[in-house]
Amino acid sequence: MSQQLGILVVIDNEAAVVSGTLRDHIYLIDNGHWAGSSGEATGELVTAVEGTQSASQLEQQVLNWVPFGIGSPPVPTPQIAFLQTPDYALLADVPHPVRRPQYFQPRILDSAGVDIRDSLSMRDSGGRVRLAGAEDKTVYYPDPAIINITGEAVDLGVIFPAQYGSPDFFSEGLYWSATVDTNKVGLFSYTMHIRLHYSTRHDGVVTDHAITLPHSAYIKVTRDFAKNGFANTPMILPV
Amino acid sequence: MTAPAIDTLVEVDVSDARPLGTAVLGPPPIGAADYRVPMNAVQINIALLIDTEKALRSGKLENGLYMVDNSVDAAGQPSGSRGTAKLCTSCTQGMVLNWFAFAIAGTITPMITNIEFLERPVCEKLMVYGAPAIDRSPSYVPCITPVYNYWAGIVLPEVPRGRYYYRLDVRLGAITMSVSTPSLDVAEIPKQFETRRSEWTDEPPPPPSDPEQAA
Amino acid sequence: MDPENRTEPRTITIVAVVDVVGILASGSFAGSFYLIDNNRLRGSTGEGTDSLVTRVRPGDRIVWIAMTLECEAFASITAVGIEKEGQRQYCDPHSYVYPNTNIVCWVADVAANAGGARIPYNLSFRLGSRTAAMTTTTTPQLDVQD
Repeated sequence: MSQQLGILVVIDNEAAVVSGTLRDHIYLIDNGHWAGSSGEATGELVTAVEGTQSASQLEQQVLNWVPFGIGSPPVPTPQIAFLQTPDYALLADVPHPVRRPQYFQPRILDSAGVDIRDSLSMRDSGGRVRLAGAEDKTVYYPDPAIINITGEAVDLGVIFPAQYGSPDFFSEGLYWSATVDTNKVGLFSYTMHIRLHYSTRHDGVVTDHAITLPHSAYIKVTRDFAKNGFANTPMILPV
Repeated sequence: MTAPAIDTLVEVDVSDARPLGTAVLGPPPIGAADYRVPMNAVQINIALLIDTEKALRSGKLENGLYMVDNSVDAAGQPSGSRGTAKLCTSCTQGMVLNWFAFAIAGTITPMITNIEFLERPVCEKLMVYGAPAIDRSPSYVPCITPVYNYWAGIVLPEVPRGRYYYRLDVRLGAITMSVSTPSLDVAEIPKQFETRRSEWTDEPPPPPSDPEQAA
Repeated sequence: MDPENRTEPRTITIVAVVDVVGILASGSFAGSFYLIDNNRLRGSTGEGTDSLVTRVRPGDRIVWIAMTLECEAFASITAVGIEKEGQRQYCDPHSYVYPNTNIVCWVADVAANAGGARIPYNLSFRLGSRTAAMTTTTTPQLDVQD
Protein backbone atom coordinates (compact mmCIF):
# COMPACT_ATOMS: atom_id res chain seq x y z
CA MET A 1 0.00 0.00 0.00
CA SER A 2 1.62 3.25 -1.02
CA GLN A 3 2.00 6.26 1.22
CA GLN A 4 0.29 9.25 -0.29
CA LEU A 5 1.73 12.72 0.23
CA GLY A 6 -0.40 15.61 -0.97
CA ILE A 7 0.96 19.03 -1.91
CA LEU A 8 -1.60 21.82 -2.12
CA VAL A 9 -0.42 24.51 -4.56
CA VAL A 10 -2.33 27.68 -3.62
CA ILE A 11 -1.98 30.59 -6.04
CA ASP A 12 -3.18 34.19 -6.10
CA ASN A 13 -3.71 34.20 -9.84
CA GLU A 14 -4.40 37.89 -10.36
CA ALA A 15 -1.35 38.92 -8.33
CA ALA A 16 0.88 36.50 -10.21
CA VAL A 17 -0.29 37.67 -13.63
CA VAL A 18 -0.05 41.35 -12.71
CA SER A 19 3.40 40.88 -11.16
CA GLY A 20 4.63 38.51 -13.86
CA THR A 21 5.92 36.08 -11.26
CA LEU A 22 4.65 33.45 -8.86
CA ARG A 23 7.17 34.56 -6.23
CA ASP A 24 5.26 35.82 -3.19
CA HIS A 25 1.98 34.71 -4.74
CA ILE A 26 2.27 30.93 -4.38
CA TYR A 27 1.79 29.05 -1.12
CA LEU A 28 2.70 25.37 -0.93
CA ILE A 29 1.32 23.16 1.83
CA ASP A 30 1.80 19.44 2.23
CA ASN A 31 0.51 16.91 4.73
CA GLY A 32 4.03 15.94 5.77
CA HIS A 33 4.46 18.56 8.44
CA TRP A 34 4.65 15.91 11.14
CA ALA A 35 7.10 13.87 9.09
CA GLY A 36 9.60 16.70 8.74
CA SER A 37 8.46 18.97 5.91
CA SER A 38 9.37 22.63 6.30
CA GLY A 39 8.36 25.93 4.71
CA GLU A 40 4.65 25.14 4.90
CA ALA A 41 2.45 27.80 3.32
CA THR A 42 5.38 29.58 1.70
CA GLY A 43 6.85 29.31 -1.77
CA GLU A 44 9.82 27.40 -0.35
CA LEU A 45 8.25 24.13 0.72
CA VAL A 46 10.60 21.24 1.42
CA THR A 47 8.56 18.05 1.28
CA ALA A 48 10.06 15.37 3.49
CA VAL A 49 9.89 11.83 2.17
CA GLU A 50 11.06 9.02 4.40
CA GLY A 51 13.35 6.57 2.71
CA THR A 52 12.74 2.95 3.43
CA GLN A 53 15.13 0.06 3.53
CA SER A 54 12.56 -2.24 2.03
CA ALA A 55 12.89 -2.69 -1.69
CA SER A 56 9.28 -3.84 -1.97
CA GLN A 57 7.14 -2.03 -4.52
CA LEU A 58 4.38 -1.94 -1.96
CA GLU A 59 6.33 0.61 0.05
CA GLN A 60 6.28 3.26 -2.66
CA GLN A 61 5.90 6.86 -1.67
CA VAL A 62 3.58 8.79 -3.92
CA LEU A 63 3.31 12.58 -4.26
CA ASN A 64 0.13 14.24 -5.56
CA TRP A 65 -0.08 17.92 -6.47
CA VAL A 66 -3.38 19.78 -6.12
CA PRO A 67 -3.42 23.25 -7.70
CA PHE A 68 -5.91 25.75 -6.32
CA GLY A 69 -6.54 29.37 -7.21
CA ILE A 70 -7.65 31.72 -4.45
CA GLY A 71 -10.98 33.09 -5.57
CA SER A 72 -12.34 29.70 -6.61
CA PRO A 73 -14.84 27.57 -4.71
CA PRO A 74 -13.02 24.95 -2.61
CA VAL A 75 -11.43 22.01 -4.44
CA PRO A 76 -13.91 19.45 -3.02
CA THR A 77 -16.92 21.32 -4.47
CA PRO A 78 -18.82 18.73 -6.54
CA GLN A 79 -18.98 19.58 -10.20
CA ILE A 80 -22.74 19.87 -10.09
CA ALA A 81 -22.22 23.40 -8.80
CA PHE A 82 -20.67 24.34 -12.15
CA LEU A 83 -23.25 22.64 -14.31
CA GLN A 84 -26.10 24.51 -15.86
CA THR A 85 -29.40 22.85 -15.05
CA PRO A 86 -30.41 22.36 -18.70
CA ASP A 87 -27.32 20.17 -19.06
CA TYR A 88 -28.29 17.67 -16.37
CA ALA A 89 -30.48 15.76 -18.78
CA LEU A 90 -27.75 15.80 -21.43
CA LEU A 91 -25.41 14.00 -19.10
CA ALA A 92 -27.77 11.13 -18.50
CA ASP A 93 -28.70 10.93 -22.14
CA VAL A 94 -25.52 10.86 -24.18
CA PRO A 95 -22.20 9.43 -23.08
CA HIS A 96 -19.35 11.94 -22.81
CA PRO A 97 -21.22 15.13 -23.60
CA VAL A 98 -17.93 16.95 -23.32
CA ARG A 99 -17.67 16.05 -26.98
CA ARG A 100 -20.43 18.57 -27.69
CA PRO A 101 -18.98 21.73 -26.17
CA GLN A 102 -21.45 24.06 -27.81
CA TYR A 103 -24.17 22.55 -25.64
CA PHE A 104 -22.18 21.98 -22.57
CA GLN A 105 -20.33 24.87 -21.03
CA PRO A 106 -19.38 24.72 -17.39
CA ARG A 107 -19.85 27.90 -15.42
CA ILE A 108 -16.66 29.36 -14.05
CA LEU A 109 -17.57 30.44 -10.56
CA ASP A 110 -15.73 32.57 -8.09
CA SER A 111 -15.79 31.84 -4.38
CA ALA A 112 -19.01 33.85 -4.01
CA GLY A 113 -20.82 31.77 -6.61
CA VAL A 114 -20.74 34.43 -9.32
CA ASP A 115 -20.09 33.34 -12.90
CA ILE A 116 -16.87 35.16 -13.69
CA ARG A 117 -17.55 35.41 -17.40
CA ASP A 118 -20.78 37.29 -16.83
CA SER A 119 -18.78 40.42 -16.17
CA LEU A 120 -17.16 40.11 -19.60
CA SER A 121 -20.31 39.75 -21.61
CA MET A 122 -21.91 42.64 -23.32
CA ARG A 123 -25.02 42.04 -21.24
CA ASP A 124 -25.17 42.54 -17.52
CA SER A 125 -26.41 39.76 -15.26
CA GLY A 126 -29.99 40.97 -15.69
CA GLY A 127 -29.72 40.45 -19.46
CA ARG A 128 -29.67 44.15 -20.23
CA VAL A 129 -27.38 45.39 -23.01
CA ARG A 130 -24.55 47.53 -21.74
CA LEU A 131 -24.04 51.00 -23.08
CA ALA A 132 -21.82 51.19 -26.11
CA GLY A 133 -18.19 51.81 -25.18
CA ALA A 134 -18.33 49.65 -22.10
CA GLU A 135 -15.23 50.14 -20.02
CA ASP A 136 -12.17 47.98 -20.42
CA LYS A 137 -12.06 45.10 -18.02
CA THR A 138 -9.75 42.23 -17.15
CA VAL A 139 -11.00 39.03 -15.60
CA TYR A 140 -8.57 36.58 -13.99
CA TYR A 141 -9.71 32.96 -13.97
CA PRO A 142 -8.91 31.53 -10.59
CA ASP A 143 -7.90 28.02 -11.60
CA PRO A 144 -4.20 27.45 -12.28
CA ALA A 145 -3.03 24.42 -14.24
CA ILE A 146 0.29 22.65 -13.78
CA ILE A 147 1.56 22.01 -17.29
CA ASN A 148 4.81 20.24 -16.48
CA ILE A 149 7.14 19.23 -13.68
CA THR A 150 10.88 19.28 -14.42
CA GLY A 151 14.18 19.92 -12.69
CA GLU A 152 16.85 18.18 -10.68
CA ALA A 153 14.54 15.73 -8.93
CA VAL A 154 13.21 14.55 -12.30
CA ASP A 155 16.55 14.50 -14.11
CA LEU A 156 18.16 12.44 -11.36
CA GLY A 157 15.31 9.95 -11.23
CA VAL A 158 14.26 10.87 -7.71
CA ILE A 159 10.65 11.49 -8.77
CA PHE A 160 8.71 10.12 -11.74
CA PRO A 161 5.93 12.59 -12.39
CA ALA A 162 3.07 12.06 -14.81
CA GLN A 163 -0.49 13.23 -15.28
CA TYR A 164 -3.30 10.86 -14.48
CA GLY A 165 -6.99 11.15 -15.26
CA SER A 166 -9.90 11.20 -12.84
CA PRO A 167 -13.70 11.29 -13.23
CA ASP A 168 -14.76 14.75 -14.37
CA PHE A 169 -17.84 15.98 -16.24
CA PHE A 170 -16.00 18.57 -18.32
CA SER A 171 -12.53 17.22 -19.01
CA GLU A 172 -10.17 14.33 -18.38
CA GLY A 173 -9.67 15.48 -14.80
CA LEU A 174 -5.89 15.40 -15.11
CA TYR A 175 -3.69 15.81 -12.06
CA TRP A 176 0.04 15.38 -11.43
CA SER A 177 1.32 12.45 -9.41
CA ALA A 178 4.83 11.08 -8.93
CA THR A 179 6.46 8.12 -7.26
CA VAL A 180 9.63 8.74 -5.32
CA ASP A 181 12.74 6.59 -5.53
CA THR A 182 13.40 6.58 -1.83
CA ASN A 183 16.84 5.08 -2.27
CA LYS A 184 18.10 8.44 -3.49
CA VAL A 185 18.73 10.28 -0.24
CA GLY A 186 19.22 14.03 -0.35
CA LEU A 187 17.67 17.42 -1.06
CA PHE A 188 16.46 17.92 -4.63
CA SER A 189 14.71 20.79 -6.34
CA TYR A 190 11.92 20.46 -8.87
CA THR A 191 10.16 23.06 -10.98
CA MET A 192 6.44 23.35 -11.65
CA HIS A 193 5.35 25.12 -14.82
CA ILE A 194 2.02 26.72 -14.10
CA ARG A 195 -0.41 28.19 -16.59
CA LEU A 196 -2.68 31.06 -15.62
CA HIS A 197 -5.57 32.35 -17.71
CA TYR A 198 -7.19 35.73 -17.98
CA SER A 199 -9.45 37.55 -20.43
CA THR A 200 -9.57 41.20 -21.34
CA ARG A 201 -12.32 43.28 -22.85
CA HIS A 202 -11.09 46.26 -24.85
CA ASP A 203 -13.22 48.32 -27.21
CA GLY A 204 -15.92 45.72 -26.80
CA VAL A 205 -13.73 42.81 -27.93
CA VAL A 206 -12.96 39.95 -25.54
CA THR A 207 -9.51 38.37 -25.87
CA ASP A 208 -8.27 35.33 -23.97
CA HIS A 209 -4.73 35.14 -22.64
CA ALA A 210 -2.58 32.56 -20.94
CA ILE A 211 0.87 32.80 -19.41
CA THR A 212 3.05 30.03 -18.02
CA LEU A 213 5.20 30.79 -15.00
CA PRO A 214 7.77 28.54 -13.32
CA HIS A 215 8.21 27.93 -9.63
CA SER A 216 10.65 25.66 -7.82
CA ALA A 217 10.27 23.73 -4.59
CA TYR A 218 12.11 20.84 -2.91
CA ILE A 219 11.93 17.18 -2.03
CA LYS A 220 14.03 15.90 0.84
CA VAL A 221 14.52 12.14 0.97
CA THR A 222 15.79 10.99 4.34
CA ARG A 223 17.12 7.62 5.35
CA ASP A 224 15.28 6.58 8.45
CA PHE A 225 15.64 3.11 9.86
CA ALA A 226 12.35 1.33 10.51
CA LYS A 227 11.56 1.58 14.18
CA ASN A 228 10.41 -1.24 16.40
CA GLY A 229 7.00 -0.03 17.50
CA PHE A 230 7.23 -1.53 21.00
CA ALA A 231 10.72 -0.56 22.03
CA ASN A 232 11.03 2.51 19.79
CA THR A 233 14.55 1.41 18.98
CA PRO A 234 15.96 1.30 15.48
CA MET A 235 15.47 -2.06 13.90
CA ILE A 236 17.74 -3.20 11.13
CA LEU A 237 15.78 -5.08 8.48
CA PRO A 238 17.35 -8.16 7.00
CA VAL A 239 18.61 -7.44 3.51
CA MET B 1 -6.47 11.10 -4.97
CA THR B 2 -6.26 7.39 -4.45
CA ALA B 3 -5.39 6.91 -0.78
CA PRO B 4 -7.32 3.99 0.64
CA ALA B 5 -7.44 5.43 4.16
CA ILE B 6 -10.77 4.76 5.82
CA ASP B 7 -12.22 7.65 7.82
CA THR B 8 -15.80 7.89 8.84
CA LEU B 9 -17.52 11.20 8.44
CA VAL B 10 -20.66 12.66 9.82
CA GLU B 11 -23.64 14.71 8.96
CA VAL B 12 -23.37 18.48 8.73
CA ASP B 13 -26.25 20.75 9.51
CA VAL B 14 -26.44 23.30 6.73
CA SER B 15 -30.01 24.30 7.57
CA ASP B 16 -28.88 27.83 8.37
CA ALA B 17 -27.04 28.20 5.10
CA ARG B 18 -28.48 30.20 2.28
CA PRO B 19 -27.90 29.19 -1.31
CA LEU B 20 -25.45 31.16 -3.41
CA GLY B 21 -26.98 32.34 -6.65
CA THR B 22 -25.84 34.11 -9.74
CA ALA B 23 -26.46 37.18 -7.66
CA VAL B 24 -24.13 36.69 -4.73
CA LEU B 25 -26.79 36.67 -2.07
CA GLY B 26 -29.32 34.14 -3.24
CA PRO B 27 -32.94 33.70 -2.28
CA PRO B 28 -33.75 32.35 1.18
CA PRO B 29 -33.56 28.57 1.47
CA ILE B 30 -36.64 26.56 0.71
CA GLY B 31 -37.37 23.72 3.09
CA ALA B 32 -34.38 24.28 5.33
CA ALA B 33 -34.98 20.96 7.05
CA ASP B 34 -34.17 19.18 3.79
CA TYR B 35 -30.65 20.46 3.97
CA ARG B 36 -29.72 17.88 6.56
CA VAL B 37 -28.08 15.42 4.21
CA PRO B 38 -25.22 13.06 4.97
CA MET B 39 -22.02 14.99 4.64
CA ASN B 40 -19.62 12.46 3.27
CA ALA B 41 -16.21 13.03 1.83
CA VAL B 42 -16.47 14.26 -1.71
CA GLN B 43 -14.27 11.37 -2.75
CA ILE B 44 -15.50 8.05 -1.51
CA ASN B 45 -13.15 5.08 -1.53
CA ILE B 46 -14.68 1.61 -1.75
CA ALA B 47 -12.17 -1.13 -1.00
CA LEU B 48 -12.65 -4.70 -2.17
CA LEU B 49 -10.58 -6.88 0.15
CA ILE B 50 -10.36 -10.29 -1.50
CA ASP B 51 -9.19 -13.61 -0.14
CA THR B 52 -8.34 -14.87 -3.60
CA GLU B 53 -7.70 -18.44 -2.45
CA LYS B 54 -11.07 -18.73 -0.75
CA ALA B 55 -12.89 -17.22 -3.70
CA LEU B 56 -11.22 -19.50 -6.21
CA ARG B 57 -11.52 -22.61 -4.08
CA SER B 58 -15.23 -22.11 -3.49
CA GLY B 59 -15.98 -20.82 -6.96
CA LYS B 60 -17.90 -17.87 -5.51
CA LEU B 61 -16.45 -14.38 -5.26
CA GLU B 62 -18.72 -13.44 -2.36
CA ASN B 63 -17.13 -16.12 -0.20
CA GLY B 64 -13.87 -14.26 -0.23
CA LEU B 65 -14.98 -10.66 -0.69
CA TYR B 66 -15.05 -8.10 2.11
CA MET B 67 -16.05 -4.59 1.12
CA VAL B 68 -15.52 -1.43 3.15
CA ASP B 69 -15.80 2.26 2.38
CA ASN B 70 -15.17 5.61 4.06
CA SER B 71 -18.74 6.81 3.87
CA VAL B 72 -21.51 7.03 6.46
CA ASP B 73 -25.23 6.51 6.20
CA ALA B 74 -27.87 9.13 6.98
CA ALA B 75 -27.71 8.29 10.69
CA GLY B 76 -23.98 8.89 10.76
CA GLN B 77 -23.16 5.22 11.03
CA PRO B 78 -20.65 3.33 8.86
CA SER B 79 -22.15 1.99 5.63
CA GLY B 80 -24.54 -0.91 6.00
CA SER B 81 -23.28 -4.46 5.48
CA ARG B 82 -19.70 -3.32 5.60
CA GLY B 83 -17.26 -6.20 5.49
CA THR B 84 -19.47 -8.21 3.16
CA ALA B 85 -20.23 -8.37 -0.53
CA LYS B 86 -23.48 -6.51 0.13
CA LEU B 87 -21.94 -3.19 1.08
CA CYS B 88 -24.35 -0.29 0.67
CA THR B 89 -22.44 2.94 0.16
CA SER B 90 -24.13 6.27 0.89
CA CYS B 91 -23.37 9.05 -1.54
CA THR B 92 -24.89 12.09 -3.20
CA GLN B 93 -25.09 13.37 -6.74
CA GLY B 94 -21.82 14.72 -8.09
CA MET B 95 -19.57 12.71 -5.78
CA VAL B 96 -16.57 10.84 -7.06
CA LEU B 97 -16.40 7.15 -6.14
CA ASN B 98 -13.20 5.10 -6.34
CA TRP B 99 -13.13 1.29 -6.24
CA PHE B 100 -9.88 -0.51 -5.32
CA ALA B 101 -9.23 -4.25 -5.15
CA PHE B 102 -6.67 -5.75 -2.78
CA ALA B 103 -5.70 -9.35 -2.12
CA ILE B 104 -5.64 -10.16 1.56
CA ALA B 105 -4.60 -13.76 0.96
CA GLY B 106 -3.14 -15.59 -1.97
CA THR B 107 -0.59 -14.57 -4.54
CA ILE B 108 -2.88 -13.38 -7.32
CA THR B 109 -3.46 -9.65 -7.80
CA PRO B 110 -7.19 -9.11 -8.29
CA MET B 111 -8.28 -6.66 -11.00
CA ILE B 112 -11.67 -5.06 -11.38
CA THR B 113 -12.65 -5.50 -15.02
CA ASN B 114 -16.13 -3.99 -15.02
CA ILE B 115 -18.70 -2.18 -12.91
CA GLU B 116 -22.23 -1.95 -14.24
CA PHE B 117 -25.36 -0.60 -12.59
CA LEU B 118 -28.30 -2.93 -12.94
CA GLU B 119 -31.27 -0.56 -13.12
CA ARG B 120 -30.07 2.56 -14.97
CA PRO B 121 -26.85 4.56 -15.46
CA VAL B 122 -25.80 6.05 -12.14
CA CYS B 123 -22.24 7.20 -12.80
CA GLU B 124 -20.60 9.13 -15.58
CA LYS B 125 -17.02 8.41 -16.72
CA LEU B 126 -17.29 5.03 -14.98
CA MET B 127 -14.18 3.21 -16.14
CA VAL B 128 -10.65 2.15 -15.31
CA TYR B 129 -8.18 4.80 -14.23
CA GLY B 130 -4.51 4.86 -13.34
CA ALA B 131 -2.67 4.84 -16.63
CA PRO B 132 -0.65 8.01 -17.15
CA ALA B 133 -1.75 10.46 -19.85
CA ILE B 134 1.42 9.96 -21.82
CA ASP B 135 0.91 12.86 -24.21
CA ARG B 136 0.55 15.23 -21.25
CA SER B 137 3.46 13.80 -19.29
CA PRO B 138 6.76 14.88 -20.86
CA SER B 139 8.79 13.03 -18.22
CA TYR B 140 7.00 9.75 -18.75
CA VAL B 141 9.43 6.81 -18.82
CA PRO B 142 8.00 3.51 -20.14
CA CYS B 143 8.04 0.72 -17.54
CA ILE B 144 9.20 3.11 -14.81
CA THR B 145 6.51 5.77 -14.49
CA PRO B 146 3.94 3.94 -12.38
CA VAL B 147 0.70 2.60 -13.81
CA TYR B 148 -2.16 2.08 -11.40
CA ASN B 149 -5.36 0.19 -11.90
CA TYR B 150 -8.62 1.10 -10.23
CA TRP B 151 -12.15 2.03 -11.21
CA ALA B 152 -13.89 5.33 -10.57
CA GLY B 153 -16.91 7.34 -11.62
CA ILE B 154 -18.87 10.48 -10.78
CA VAL B 155 -22.51 10.25 -9.69
CA LEU B 156 -24.83 11.84 -12.25
CA PRO B 157 -26.78 14.92 -11.15
CA GLU B 158 -30.19 13.63 -12.21
CA VAL B 159 -30.16 10.28 -10.44
CA PRO B 160 -33.28 10.12 -8.26
CA ARG B 161 -32.86 9.33 -4.60
CA GLY B 162 -32.73 5.58 -4.04
CA ARG B 163 -30.79 2.37 -3.83
CA TYR B 164 -28.90 1.20 -6.92
CA TYR B 165 -27.31 -2.23 -7.16
CA TYR B 166 -24.29 -2.81 -9.34
CA ARG B 167 -22.40 -5.80 -10.70
CA LEU B 168 -18.69 -6.06 -10.05
CA ASP B 169 -16.55 -8.20 -12.34
CA VAL B 170 -13.20 -9.13 -10.83
CA ARG B 171 -10.48 -11.06 -12.59
CA LEU B 172 -8.44 -13.48 -10.51
CA GLY B 173 -5.71 -14.80 -12.73
CA ALA B 174 -7.40 -16.51 -15.65
CA ILE B 175 -10.86 -16.49 -14.10
CA THR B 176 -13.39 -13.65 -13.90
CA MET B 177 -15.94 -13.77 -11.10
CA SER B 178 -18.85 -11.45 -10.34
CA VAL B 179 -21.17 -10.29 -7.60
CA SER B 180 -24.31 -8.21 -7.99
CA THR B 181 -25.00 -7.56 -4.34
CA PRO B 182 -23.22 -4.27 -3.54
CA SER B 183 -25.18 -1.06 -3.94
CA LEU B 184 -25.14 2.72 -3.70
CA ASP B 185 -27.66 4.63 -1.63
CA VAL B 186 -27.98 7.96 -3.42
CA ALA B 187 -29.27 10.81 -1.28
CA GLU B 188 -30.60 13.76 -3.17
CA ILE B 189 -29.33 17.22 -2.39
CA PRO B 190 -32.28 19.59 -2.66
CA LYS B 191 -32.00 21.75 -5.74
CA GLN B 192 -32.16 25.22 -4.33
CA PHE B 193 -32.71 26.95 -7.60
CA GLU B 194 -32.30 26.63 -11.34
CA THR B 195 -29.01 27.72 -12.85
CA ARG B 196 -29.66 29.31 -16.18
CA ARG B 197 -27.35 29.33 -19.11
CA SER B 198 -25.28 32.52 -19.53
CA GLU B 199 -26.11 34.63 -22.53
CA TRP B 200 -23.21 35.14 -24.84
CA THR B 201 -22.95 37.33 -27.87
CA ASP B 202 -19.57 35.89 -28.85
CA GLU B 203 -18.03 32.45 -28.90
CA PRO B 204 -17.35 31.56 -25.27
CA PRO B 205 -13.68 31.05 -24.39
CA PRO B 206 -12.40 27.53 -23.80
CA PRO B 207 -12.41 26.34 -20.18
CA PRO B 208 -9.28 27.68 -18.45
CA SER B 209 -8.27 24.26 -17.16
CA ASP B 210 -7.88 23.00 -20.70
CA PRO B 211 -4.23 21.97 -20.99
CA GLU B 212 -4.47 21.68 -24.74
CA GLN B 213 -3.66 25.36 -25.24
CA ALA B 214 -0.26 25.80 -26.80
CA ALA B 215 2.46 27.13 -24.50
CA MET C 1 0.02 48.34 -10.90
CA ASP C 2 -3.15 49.89 -9.54
CA PRO C 3 -6.24 48.06 -10.74
CA GLU C 4 -8.41 49.99 -13.14
CA ASN C 5 -11.48 49.40 -10.98
CA ARG C 6 -10.23 51.30 -7.97
CA THR C 7 -13.61 52.18 -6.52
CA GLU C 8 -15.52 49.05 -7.49
CA PRO C 9 -16.17 46.72 -4.54
CA ARG C 10 -14.08 43.58 -4.66
CA THR C 11 -14.70 40.06 -3.53
CA ILE C 12 -11.81 38.99 -1.34
CA THR C 13 -11.44 35.30 -0.59
CA ILE C 14 -9.85 34.02 2.61
CA VAL C 15 -8.85 30.35 2.39
CA ALA C 16 -8.50 28.45 5.66
CA VAL C 17 -6.35 25.37 5.02
CA VAL C 18 -6.56 22.79 7.79
CA ASP C 19 -4.56 19.63 8.37
CA VAL C 20 -7.46 17.65 9.81
CA VAL C 21 -5.36 14.69 10.94
CA GLY C 22 -2.86 16.99 12.65
CA ILE C 23 -5.53 18.98 14.47
CA LEU C 24 -7.44 15.94 15.70
CA ALA C 25 -4.26 14.18 16.75
CA SER C 26 -2.85 17.09 18.72
CA GLY C 27 -6.10 18.67 19.89
CA SER C 28 -4.94 22.08 18.69
CA PHE C 29 -4.70 24.15 15.54
CA ALA C 30 -1.05 25.04 16.14
CA GLY C 31 1.06 24.01 13.19
CA SER C 32 -1.97 22.70 11.26
CA PHE C 33 -3.85 25.84 10.25
CA TYR C 34 -2.99 28.33 7.52
CA LEU C 35 -4.86 31.41 6.29
CA ILE C 36 -4.28 32.89 2.85
CA ASP C 37 -6.14 35.63 0.97
CA ASN C 38 -5.91 37.15 -2.50
CA ASN C 39 -5.25 40.72 -1.42
CA ARG C 40 -1.54 40.69 -0.72
CA LEU C 41 -0.91 43.17 -3.51
CA ARG C 42 -3.19 45.68 -1.83
CA GLY C 43 -1.81 45.36 1.67
CA SER C 44 -2.69 42.07 3.39
CA THR C 45 0.05 40.73 5.67
CA GLY C 46 0.75 37.45 7.40
CA GLU C 47 -0.16 35.32 4.38
CA GLY C 48 0.08 31.63 5.18
CA THR C 49 0.06 32.10 8.95
CA ASP C 50 -2.68 31.62 11.52
CA SER C 51 -2.82 35.39 12.08
CA LEU C 52 -3.53 36.75 8.62
CA VAL C 53 -4.39 40.46 8.43
CA THR C 54 -6.63 41.00 5.43
CA ARG C 55 -6.68 44.51 3.99
CA VAL C 56 -10.19 45.45 2.86
CA ARG C 57 -12.24 48.51 1.93
CA PRO C 58 -15.75 49.44 3.00
CA GLY C 59 -18.15 47.77 0.59
CA ASP C 60 -15.87 44.81 -0.16
CA ARG C 61 -17.27 41.30 0.09
CA ILE C 62 -15.31 38.76 2.13
CA VAL C 63 -15.71 35.02 1.46
CA TRP C 64 -14.22 32.44 3.85
CA ILE C 65 -13.74 28.88 2.59
CA ALA C 66 -12.16 25.79 4.15
CA MET C 67 -9.79 23.40 2.42
CA THR C 68 -8.17 20.18 3.65
CA LEU C 69 -4.89 18.59 2.68
CA GLU C 70 -6.41 15.23 1.76
CA CYS C 71 -9.36 14.82 -0.56
CA GLU C 72 -10.99 12.26 1.71
CA ALA C 73 -10.77 14.43 4.82
CA PHE C 74 -13.77 16.47 5.85
CA ALA C 75 -13.70 20.05 7.14
CA SER C 76 -16.40 22.70 7.19
CA ILE C 77 -16.56 26.15 8.76
CA THR C 78 -19.38 26.28 11.29
CA ALA C 79 -18.94 29.91 12.36
CA VAL C 80 -16.98 33.09 11.72
CA GLY C 81 -16.93 34.81 15.09
CA ILE C 82 -16.46 38.57 15.24
CA GLU C 83 -14.82 38.84 18.61
CA LYS C 84 -15.80 42.40 19.56
CA GLU C 85 -19.56 42.67 19.81
CA GLY C 86 -19.52 46.33 18.86
CA GLN C 87 -17.91 45.45 15.55
CA ARG C 88 -20.60 43.10 14.37
CA GLN C 89 -22.34 46.07 12.75
CA TYR C 90 -19.29 46.38 10.48
CA CYS C 91 -19.18 42.75 9.42
CA ASP C 92 -21.89 40.12 9.85
CA PRO C 93 -20.88 36.79 8.31
CA HIS C 94 -23.50 34.26 7.21
CA SER C 95 -23.20 30.80 5.75
CA TYR C 96 -24.05 29.92 2.17
CA VAL C 97 -23.98 26.73 0.14
CA TYR C 98 -22.68 26.36 -3.41
CA PRO C 99 -25.52 25.53 -5.82
CA ASN C 100 -26.85 22.01 -5.44
CA THR C 101 -24.09 20.92 -3.08
CA ASN C 102 -23.62 20.89 0.64
CA ILE C 103 -20.29 22.69 0.54
CA VAL C 104 -20.46 25.71 2.80
CA CYS C 105 -18.76 29.10 2.65
CA TRP C 106 -19.19 32.18 4.85
CA VAL C 107 -19.79 35.61 3.38
CA ALA C 108 -19.84 39.11 4.87
CA ASP C 109 -19.98 42.58 3.38
CA VAL C 110 -17.79 45.23 4.97
CA ALA C 111 -20.09 48.05 6.06
CA ALA C 112 -19.73 51.49 4.52
CA ASN C 113 -19.02 53.03 7.93
CA ALA C 114 -16.33 50.53 8.89
CA GLY C 115 -13.42 52.61 7.62
CA GLY C 116 -10.44 52.53 9.94
CA ALA C 117 -11.61 49.51 11.95
CA ARG C 118 -9.44 46.52 12.78
CA ILE C 119 -11.77 43.55 13.17
CA PRO C 120 -10.37 40.40 14.83
CA TYR C 121 -12.26 37.17 14.21
CA ASN C 122 -12.00 33.44 14.88
CA LEU C 123 -13.14 30.43 12.89
CA SER C 124 -14.97 27.35 14.12
CA PHE C 125 -14.76 24.07 12.21
CA ARG C 126 -16.30 20.65 12.06
CA LEU C 127 -13.39 18.31 11.40
CA GLY C 128 -13.45 14.66 10.40
CA SER C 129 -15.79 12.59 12.48
CA ARG C 130 -15.54 14.76 15.60
CA THR C 131 -19.02 16.00 16.48
CA ALA C 132 -18.04 19.03 18.55
CA ALA C 133 -16.81 22.05 16.61
CA MET C 134 -13.32 23.37 17.33
CA THR C 135 -12.50 27.09 17.39
CA THR C 136 -9.21 28.79 16.53
CA THR C 137 -7.48 30.83 19.22
CA THR C 138 -5.19 33.06 17.18
CA THR C 139 -6.06 36.58 16.00
CA PRO C 140 -6.55 36.95 12.29
CA GLN C 141 -8.27 40.20 11.45
CA LEU C 142 -9.80 42.40 8.81
CA ASP C 143 -7.97 45.71 8.44
CA VAL C 144 -10.43 48.19 6.94
CA GLN C 145 -8.94 51.00 4.91
CA ASP C 146 -10.23 54.49 5.58
